[in-house]
Amino acid sequence: MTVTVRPAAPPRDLAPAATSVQTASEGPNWVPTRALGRAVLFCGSAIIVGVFLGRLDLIVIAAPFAIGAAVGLRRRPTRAPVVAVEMEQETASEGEEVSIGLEMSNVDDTRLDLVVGRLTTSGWLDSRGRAAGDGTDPRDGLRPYAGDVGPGETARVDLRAIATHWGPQQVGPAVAYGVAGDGLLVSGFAVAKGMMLRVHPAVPPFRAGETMPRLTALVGIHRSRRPGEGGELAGVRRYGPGDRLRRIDWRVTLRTGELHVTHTFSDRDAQVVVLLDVVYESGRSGGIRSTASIVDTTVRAAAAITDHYLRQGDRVGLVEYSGTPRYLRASSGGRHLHTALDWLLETRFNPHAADAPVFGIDHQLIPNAALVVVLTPLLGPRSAEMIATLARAGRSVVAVDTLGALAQRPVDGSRWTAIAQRLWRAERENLVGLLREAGVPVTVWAGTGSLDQVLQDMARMAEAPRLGVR
Amino acid sequence: MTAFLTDLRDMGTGLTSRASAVIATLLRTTLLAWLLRLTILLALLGACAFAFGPRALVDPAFVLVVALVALAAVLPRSRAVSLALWVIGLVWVVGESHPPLWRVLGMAATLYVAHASAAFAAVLPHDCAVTGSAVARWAVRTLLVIAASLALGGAGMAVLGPLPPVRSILGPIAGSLFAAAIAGLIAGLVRRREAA
Repeated sequence: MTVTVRPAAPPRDLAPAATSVQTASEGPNWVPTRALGRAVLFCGSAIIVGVFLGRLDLIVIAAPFAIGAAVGLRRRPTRAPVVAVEMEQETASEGEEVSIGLEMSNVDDTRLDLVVGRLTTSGWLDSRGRAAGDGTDPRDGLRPYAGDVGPGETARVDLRAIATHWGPQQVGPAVAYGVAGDGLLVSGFAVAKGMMLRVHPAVPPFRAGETMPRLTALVGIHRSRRPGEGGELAGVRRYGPGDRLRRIDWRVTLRTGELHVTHTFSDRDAQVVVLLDVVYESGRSGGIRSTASIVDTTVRAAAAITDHYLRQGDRVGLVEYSGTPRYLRASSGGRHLHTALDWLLETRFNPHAADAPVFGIDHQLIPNAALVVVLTPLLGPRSAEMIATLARAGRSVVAVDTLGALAQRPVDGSRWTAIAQRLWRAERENLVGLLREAGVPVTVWAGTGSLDQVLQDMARMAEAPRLGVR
Repeated sequence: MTAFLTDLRDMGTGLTSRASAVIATLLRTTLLAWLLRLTILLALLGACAFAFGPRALVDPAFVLVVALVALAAVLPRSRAVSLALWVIGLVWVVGESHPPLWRVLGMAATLYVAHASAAFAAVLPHDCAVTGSAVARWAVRTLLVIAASLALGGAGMAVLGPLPPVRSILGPIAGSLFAAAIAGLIAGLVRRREAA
């Protein structure tokens, strides 16, 4: 199966496009290099020895050193070069190429032999560099760049990097220094401070049916279970008191001789709370082109679910279950999608303490009618207890297993490792079974249609008559 | 026994990672950095050949000097370059007292090429991408300095060489003053501050 990945970022017009330039300079301006000391000492000693020994050949040997140093130091720069980092955008999506500019300026009135600049970035920015207008290797990325820069001129290196991992990624700092006098003088470092590039998670393809177990207000796009004012036809029935005249179905009325009206299902709004369980972490985070850890899968799945339901017009809230729980209140609309994606960037594996995180069920945060999608690896009792607490409190909970293929990963070790792994798998299956018995459907995250079956089952269960004990 | 094997495995892992890092550094090193180091090596070897002359084939010190030259080529930022220049200069001084002009000019050119290449290599990171114009300007400046020096030196030797040696105290005094003047000029250029 081919899985395409599309960015979860909101339309470009919503993202704040900006140009950031920061410059700072530190250190002494110009200092002599070891080469200058070598030239002076070798030249001086050769001349002195030559004079005292009457050896003209030693004077000739020293001559290039003396002339080279004199020519090199004839015009000495007084001001160190200036470096700047320029970023055309502050946000990107996983897999997107971003442009970064490294500018090195000579603010002195003397030509510099070299200005050497280097930009450091987060390891999650896979870079390919090219210095504008010359033959430097475009295949390799953030290596240092050097060029001769005339007075008042600026050398610019355009770098292109692919954001391979979600999260805030550091761009910079950049450092540069100048070289003058044929390598006899070197300037102090000019430093351009680092900037942050917010990389939004890529969204695996995700679709869910319209079925929702519970709905909230009488607005929205979901067809509810109840008849009411809406767009979708439910059937034709006899006219009754309160029916609107515009609902009369005249064809059926004329055929039967009795007033009949069409009736529809009401359209309802839904609230979804995506709960991210990041108390446990496993797997290797290799970026968008490689393996994903649990937190990677959790964040990408949360982005996909949030993106889907917000585009449908629903209200989506986010809650992080970790050592330091966070939440984002439910809201709807494109702006909220942007806020939610930014909120997801701060998600970290955060066990914090040995004790289970304090997790109270706030009615404002997780309303009764909300669908709670728990993205959890189900790796320990904390997660199971939290899900069971939600289910016992009457919430519609779906547990999405984010461990996925990692659960089947073979582990190297002694001969007991395989047995231990089998026991662990059995224990985990038991945990999943217990959750299902408690009324919590558990499904493995698989992108498109991951939630369809469980949501339909939950809707059917919600429609069924309930047994009550009086 | 198990602990020993574990230690051995850890040591192997450490060595492998260290070797991988060295290989990665070598692979990342640019062609220019390699060429500069090769230039230093060849120039210093040429200077050795001029300094030793035919003695190079029989003198055991030649091997030691070549080893020092190789070290200077590998580490252009270190003091090995200065040391190599001094040692080769010393070999030259204790060698022939009246070498032919071509050897003097060859010695001067090779020593300066080694010095200039080491100065250039020392300020460049090993993986630095350098614009072609910067390299060309550096090469032209070096060649001009060598050409001017050899022209002046050659002319001076051609004029002063045939003159009969005159034993006088004025010669060393004038030479010392000349050397002090050059040293003072260079020191003055170095100390000149940006206010100037």
